[in-house]
Amino acid sequence: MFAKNKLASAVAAAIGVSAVGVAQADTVFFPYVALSETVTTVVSVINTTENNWNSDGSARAATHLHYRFYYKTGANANNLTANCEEYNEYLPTSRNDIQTIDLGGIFGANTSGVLFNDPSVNNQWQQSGRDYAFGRYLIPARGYLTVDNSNADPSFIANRGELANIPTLSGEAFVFEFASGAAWGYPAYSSLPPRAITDTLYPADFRYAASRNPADVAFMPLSEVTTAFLVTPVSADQTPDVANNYRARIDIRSTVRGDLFDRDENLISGTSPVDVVCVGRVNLPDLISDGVEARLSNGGWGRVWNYRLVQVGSNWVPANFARANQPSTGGLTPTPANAAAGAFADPRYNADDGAVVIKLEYNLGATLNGEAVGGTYNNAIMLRPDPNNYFLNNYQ
Amino acid sequence: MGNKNSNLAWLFGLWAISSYLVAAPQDSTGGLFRPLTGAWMEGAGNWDYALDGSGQLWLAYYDRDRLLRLRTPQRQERLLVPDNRAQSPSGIALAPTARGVIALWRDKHPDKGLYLLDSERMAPDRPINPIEIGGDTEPLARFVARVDQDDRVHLLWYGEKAGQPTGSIHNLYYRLFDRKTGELSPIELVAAGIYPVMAVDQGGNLVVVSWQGDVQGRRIVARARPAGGQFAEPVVIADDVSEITPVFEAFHVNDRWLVFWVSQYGLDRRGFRLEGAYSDDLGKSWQRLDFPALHGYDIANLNLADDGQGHLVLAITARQRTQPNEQKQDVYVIRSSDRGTSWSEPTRLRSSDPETLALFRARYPVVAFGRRPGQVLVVWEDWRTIRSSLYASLSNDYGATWQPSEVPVPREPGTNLGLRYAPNALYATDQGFHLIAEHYPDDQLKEQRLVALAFDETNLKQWAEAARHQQVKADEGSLRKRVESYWQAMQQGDYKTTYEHLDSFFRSLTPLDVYLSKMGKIKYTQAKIEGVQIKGPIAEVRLQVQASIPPFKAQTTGETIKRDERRIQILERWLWIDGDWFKEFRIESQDIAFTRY
Repeated sequence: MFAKNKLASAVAAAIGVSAVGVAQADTVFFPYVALSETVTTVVSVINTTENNWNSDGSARAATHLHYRFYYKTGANANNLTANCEEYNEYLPTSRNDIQTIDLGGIFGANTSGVLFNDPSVNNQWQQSGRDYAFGRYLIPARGYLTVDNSNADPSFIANRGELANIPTLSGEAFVFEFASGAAWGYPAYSSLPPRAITDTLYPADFRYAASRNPADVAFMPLSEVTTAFLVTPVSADQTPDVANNYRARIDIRSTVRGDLFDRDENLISGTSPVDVVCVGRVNLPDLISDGVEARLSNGGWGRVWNYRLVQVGSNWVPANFARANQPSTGGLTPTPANAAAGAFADPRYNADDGAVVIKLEYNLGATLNGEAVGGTYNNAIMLRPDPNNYFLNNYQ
Repeated sequence: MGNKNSNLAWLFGLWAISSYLVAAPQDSTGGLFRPLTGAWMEGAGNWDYALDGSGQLWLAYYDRDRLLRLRTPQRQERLLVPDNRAQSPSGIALAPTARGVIALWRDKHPDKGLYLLDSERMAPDRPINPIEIGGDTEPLARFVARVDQDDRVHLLWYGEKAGQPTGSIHNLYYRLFDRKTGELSPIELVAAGIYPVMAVDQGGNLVVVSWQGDVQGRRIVARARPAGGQFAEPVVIADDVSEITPVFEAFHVNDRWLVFWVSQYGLDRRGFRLEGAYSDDLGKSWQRLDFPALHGYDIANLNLADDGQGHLVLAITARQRTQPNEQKQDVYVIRSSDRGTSWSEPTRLRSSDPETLALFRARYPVVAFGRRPGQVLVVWEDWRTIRSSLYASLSNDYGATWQPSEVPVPREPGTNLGLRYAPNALYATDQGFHLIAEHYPDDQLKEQRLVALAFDETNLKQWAEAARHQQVKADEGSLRKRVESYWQAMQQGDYKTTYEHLDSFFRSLTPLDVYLSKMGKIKYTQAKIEGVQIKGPIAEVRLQVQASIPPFKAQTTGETIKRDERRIQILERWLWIDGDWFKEFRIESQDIAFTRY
């Protein structure tokens, strides 16, 4: 079942592309991909430049984009602290091209996962004979996807006359449970573009995409609606070679302790944090104690924190990113306590936003508020980044 | 189905006519249970009860329209919110008086506040006239009321008035209501905190306990108030309690003050610990209690029973939760024969078949001593029959041994019986034990009503014997027939028949037409059972099926989807529910079932 993936990875390694970091590129980041027998993720990749790669990534060319899929599969798909593996391919593209791909290979079975009658003229995807459905042989799997080109070379920008402040790669994702027809989606994050040709670029830096930390989040009634959080830790380098072991914590703390509010403004203590490596789904009941769950039947709201962690001894502690852009995973340092803040001295209050968090909520059966709605609903909200995120406003 | 009463009431304009309703629904529980509530409640609707000085049952509950109702021992129901206002009341606490109850709730009409009603001053033909007792403390819906032998009502609540000297926005407030004079004492700020926990003895001495999670040091403190006196200075019970869950209770038993809480230790706050403390000198000094065998166990609720002779039994819902993916909840008891100085190791009450029972949750045990020395009963909610049932274990030696044990309380097929995390809805009289339970008429579990059950040791033995005789063998032969019948219908495209084979929790939430609209994309030509493994009411069935997807266009994308025929192996779970096998419906992509066990 996994033979193809292993072979493909081996080939990629043999030709020296797997371990090639993306030194100069625009990148688009799809923070969550889900694949199973009944769920697939359809991504649309929009490329507006000719500054791409050639078929093996060894030189710049106009013809190929670099797809990197970080995933957990099989038993690890639900293991929150398992590392992700990386699988990468250089696949055809062309300027101003859109390519819509079913990563699970459920749709477009006869067109390599490429959907919607995409002509293979400029973007010669069909002639390449390559498979765009990276997850076809990995089901079940969770992961995230990045796609990069070579556009970030300032000289290219100058030479091509492209707009310096518009990303050349962007995209959208569509997560589709075709068994029930439920679907949700999100816009992908594009790497921050250069603002001047003298800018130094680290195009796989997605620290700015982290969801606001903390974010006030509504909880629907636990007895009627299933609520989960899809968590993808971010980094200065979202495209590490071979594997991803980035660890982040999600936690509900609405005051200075682990607590949340019911619908009557009653504060209820008794939450517990959950750590996620690379990507994972955390169900709301895993974040609260049984005593809280018993008393929160109608739902309520809570302040959801997300931050990266760094290991100190045997403990994982809240971390800050280095303030300078860094092309590596380094730069994480334990968050200092705020000695003057009294009850707020806990280091977590100084931690940087550390993960993209998507809240997923869907019903069991056909009701909302106890009233018939004629079917299932499946809603997802990507918790927005903080507009004051340091890495959004201070990139170089 | 559950809104019959309210619909009729609206139809005939009853809300506008009178705030009285007589509880007279038909008993659909086979005559064993006595219906208590006249209106349907939401599945998790709030309620409380109290026994007055003559042992009469008073009950208060929220109906599904969020109207707060008080049920008298004469089975009359009275709305506790004037003008038929729904929605605005919240919370409810009852405390017994000689011939009635004190009811306490929060409301915003005529003004936002905390309202107290003395049922003995409630005239049947006049509007109720509750007293607002919260003042300017911005009370929230968490409060307690206790009545002492001199008819003094001790009131404790938490409010969110800003600018208090504690430095916290959330504080506990105390007030005394003298029923004899009708006088209210001034409001006293007791301590910072969010959980109003208080124990009062018959003489009116009391201890307030508070977890102060948002002040420096994070601690649990106690403040005692002798009868007729002033609050003493706070005494720190524990200074190492950074985080706790809402399971936090105080008791006064045998001249001792007892408090229990559930701490969360460690960076991941999953170091759950049931802890406690006791004081024999009205809160001046405290001895800590620890239950090492339960370290790492998350506690959903606890109830305490005492016999007045120094014997205590603590019943809890617990499960180990050191990892996010956890065990099922289970029921344990811990006992003491020295007023709580020392405690036994926890006993798991479901011990008949631990391996199988680990598949099913059990929770919310209620506990009471009987009238015979040493007799104690525990009843809990148990999902071992896929549906929610009540099980009981009896001890005649103060909880050391249990016989009869794990006795199923009869339940009408197709219904569910449950309990709530609070109150401790089991009590004893000279006639035996009395239980208040939640009765759910179907598997949606969205609506319920409260029912009462009276029984004794003889009944328990009869039920245990009946259960032994009525035990139907969930055998492999009948399972195979059901599986084959299901798959034959699948091959024939007879989805009405396949629907009837699916578990009732799925069917109760998914109408047939919705199910039919989703079926038919996959065609099956063969199905062969390759293996069956039965464990109690659960069977794992391995099948090999031949399936294909004929070409069809996806509605949303227009994409043509098809799959050639292929042989696949599948694993199904079948459930023995009230006398037959049903296929458990699962959303495979998210590993979600509709069943609740």
